[in-house]
Amino acid sequence: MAKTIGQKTSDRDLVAAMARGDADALRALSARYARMLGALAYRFVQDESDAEEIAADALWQAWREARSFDPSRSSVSAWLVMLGRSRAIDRFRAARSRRPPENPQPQPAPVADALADLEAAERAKIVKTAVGELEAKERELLELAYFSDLSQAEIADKVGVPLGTVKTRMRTALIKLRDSLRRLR
Amino acid sequence: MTHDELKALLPLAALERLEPAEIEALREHLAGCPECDAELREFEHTLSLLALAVDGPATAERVTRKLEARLAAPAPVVVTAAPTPPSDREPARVVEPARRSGGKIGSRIAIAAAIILAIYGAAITSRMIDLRYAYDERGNKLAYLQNRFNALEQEAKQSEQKIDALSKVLSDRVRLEQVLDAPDLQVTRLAPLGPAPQAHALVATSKSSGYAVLRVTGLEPPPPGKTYELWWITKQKGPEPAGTFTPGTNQEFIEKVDAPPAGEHVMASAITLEPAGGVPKPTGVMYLKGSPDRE
Repeated sequence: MAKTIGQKTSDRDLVAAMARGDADALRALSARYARMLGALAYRFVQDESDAEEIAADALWQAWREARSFDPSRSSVSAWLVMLGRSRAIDRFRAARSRRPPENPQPQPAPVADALADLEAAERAKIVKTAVGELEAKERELLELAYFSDLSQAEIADKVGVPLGTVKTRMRTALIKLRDSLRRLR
Repeated sequence: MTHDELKALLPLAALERLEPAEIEALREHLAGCPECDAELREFEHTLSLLALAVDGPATAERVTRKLEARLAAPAPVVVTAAPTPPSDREPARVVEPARRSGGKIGSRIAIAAAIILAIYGAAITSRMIDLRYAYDERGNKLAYLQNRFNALEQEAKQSEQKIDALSKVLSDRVRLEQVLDAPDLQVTRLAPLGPAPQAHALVATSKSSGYAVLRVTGLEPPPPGKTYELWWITKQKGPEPAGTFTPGTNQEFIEKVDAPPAGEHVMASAITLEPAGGVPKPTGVMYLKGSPDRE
């Protein structure tokens, strides 16, 4: 029997309901992740409208591919981030090939969302604390590795360290972040 | 590659920063190692948390509106087969004898209607077949353009990689010259040890510019899953990592490395063979070693 969609419904149950064609489950998942997916996309495309489109595309793709989601392979959040990040990189590359680089637009202040954002805000606080525990050079490399389309050689050039050091620091930073999150959660 | 070497690749795998050979080796390993598979998932989950903690413009409402619009839009109609003409589907009605009470007029109307339906049905069928062909043709054209686009994208990527490689060679050479011209140039010559009798290396450092550049000749590319690592052997802390490097098949290799740690007295430098990605303290075989030239 289908469960009622509510704030306590797990992400996995939402995706399972989406696989059965329950549009309310998509709405609930969107309430949880749309703003965060938009913010993630914004890091790449630096355009609010494009970022919203990417977030909607990622959620729409999740809706269409909900049946193929395998909870034993990844969490729902990791799956959504993977979809959103891939689309953001595609859009970023397409935009880069079409037009010269522009100055980034100033970011408008975030607007407070409803209850759905509370849990996310708490989670973001924990992650930011964990990120804050990284050394500055590790944090910089981790963010460049994950939030940019730069090759490792370009990253090495940008931060002025050898390629091998870039790899070592990326690895160290991610291990530290994982360990910090284990401790903080 | 050993289990530990492959395990060391997991963070870079989650960041999608592995070399093709490493990806292949790891893929094979993950199929039979639940421990590494679970650890990779955990790194991926960690990164998704990092992604979801990013600040940015608030977009939830507008994203939801976009989704509502998509949910409200009618599903596209896909033509799967040409419809069967009505005359084929219900032949009995066309040839059915007129009812006794209708007489000849009724019978003629029925025949005329059947003919009109047959003609109309055939016309619709023909039009749908035309549309189907046009649809298929566009699909083929689109597939061709997509393939062409992919090929061009691939070519562009390869060209970018070549340019990157050439730019790196150039910038490394410029950097080496800058260090060699520095008034406080300090040179360390590394002599070959047993595993690489033909190899030679030189590390040029300049404290004022904060640069250190390594030049290596005659060192073979490392085996898969391994890398070379340069060390500053200091008086206070012992060996400190100065960077990993992977020479190609060229005779000469130049790479920027980390400058010696500030405030530390460097007694010697060495190059060892280590697991891919490098290690914080040396574990592998030493290939070259040398002390700084006297100032």
